[in-house]
Amino acid sequence: MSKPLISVTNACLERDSVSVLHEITFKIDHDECVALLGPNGAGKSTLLHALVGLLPLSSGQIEICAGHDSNSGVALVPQFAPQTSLIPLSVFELVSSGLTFSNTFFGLSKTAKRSVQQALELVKLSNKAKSPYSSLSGGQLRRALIARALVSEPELLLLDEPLAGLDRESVAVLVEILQDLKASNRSMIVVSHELADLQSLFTRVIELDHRSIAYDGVPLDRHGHESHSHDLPPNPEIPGVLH
Amino acid sequence: MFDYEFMVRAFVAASVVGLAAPLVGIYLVQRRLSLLGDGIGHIALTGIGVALLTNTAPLWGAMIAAVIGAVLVEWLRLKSKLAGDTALSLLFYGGIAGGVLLTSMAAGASSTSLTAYLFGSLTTVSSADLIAVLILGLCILLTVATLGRQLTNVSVDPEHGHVQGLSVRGLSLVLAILSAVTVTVGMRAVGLLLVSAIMVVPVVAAQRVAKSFLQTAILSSLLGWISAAAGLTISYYVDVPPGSTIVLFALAVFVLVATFGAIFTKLRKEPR
Repeated sequence: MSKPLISVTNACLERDSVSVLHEITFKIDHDECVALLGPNGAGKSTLLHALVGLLPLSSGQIEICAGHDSNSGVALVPQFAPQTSLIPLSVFELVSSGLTFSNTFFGLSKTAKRSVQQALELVKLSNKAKSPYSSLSGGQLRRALIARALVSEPELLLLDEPLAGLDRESVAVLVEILQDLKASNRSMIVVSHELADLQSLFTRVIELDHRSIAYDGVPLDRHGHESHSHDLPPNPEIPGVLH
Repeated sequence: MFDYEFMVRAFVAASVVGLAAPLVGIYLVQRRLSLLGDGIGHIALTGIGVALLTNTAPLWGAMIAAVIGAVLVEWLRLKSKLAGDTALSLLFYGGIAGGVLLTSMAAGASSTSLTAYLFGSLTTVSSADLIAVLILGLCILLTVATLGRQLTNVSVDPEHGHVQGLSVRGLSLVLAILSAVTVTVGMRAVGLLLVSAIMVVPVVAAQRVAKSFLQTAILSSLLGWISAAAGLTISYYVDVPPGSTIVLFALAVFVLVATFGAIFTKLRKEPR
């Protein structure tokens, strides 16, 4: 049996002496696509940030087995883009910044350039490679950030609210991209409130409530049965339900 | 003007400063630290004072003080409970006051020698100075060529850099030290009080028309060299101080690029 990509054991996290995550334990295996649910303030984004080392745990441990010498294992697609760059930064440069250790500033190798082009093609932004990233729309920017994460070929992709604030057209394009990623056996953890568009993506739901895991299992329908439907009505009352 | 050996040395030194300084300045502008070079220049003045007092080479005294100052500035920015600019100002005022005091105590040093370091003295660059400037300039270019991508990453998105395993603090320290070395290199060309201008102004001009980070880096370096070379040439023929002429030329280039950039953008947006 292969090792899980990521293994979280009794993870606790405090900020300014206030508990934000309490005794979180779960594992993510290969090919899993996990919805990380919960009300605002439940600790979803905090958990994602802890998984990539941006926030240190107070106790417990996170073991990352994903990745090897040639890739970074886990990549985060943040909800918000970096603040507007004072120096113009092209979309190509933004995406190539995912290849931190591979090259110098003045010499991106042909292989690295090809990787960036492929990542841009995957998110349907090839035609924007030379544009300044500040000229992109919200949806295009989200796709560019996905390409930046993908360029290092991570085994596990963490997406924080990928559909938040996007119009219907942008949502449709992004959902198609995420479906493509799932079809290519990419493991993902997705924090999202816009689940109506994404529910066919998930093989598992982890729901946080009051800083702890309230549910961890297969997606359930509103009656608490295993979900197969792609068109579920909302039900915020039952944990594990795609609402 | 190249008939005179001192002018050849001045031209080479000015060219190194013009080419290298914007390559460091681009990261300072991106990180909203445009005045860091200015502050480090103040601190370097104490190094000059110590060097004059101990009768050692001012260039190296300035560099040691500038590097120590840059590390202190970075430490204060991260650790101090004072507001960032307040903490920095304490260091800057201390630096310039220490420099003036120590220089006044040095035997044989006068206000003229201090002025040479405050506002530059390109025509008095010795062969030893030139070798030091060339070595330090090469160090700057090599560091930017090797760590440029990492510096760009943590300047544009420090959080993403951290996720990728980059040492954001380490790279910030590298940038601070790089700024200190650039200030020392630029000291003889434009002076400690104006060195920040040659780091920042060509970058601000280039960013008006460039479409990428790489384009901005190349263009700002080119504009920096043009300003340094043209400023020195004008100062030679008009008989005015080279440091201030270089900075004023760089500002004129900025106004020109910004104006043409704005006109070009407007024309492109006009419906046909």
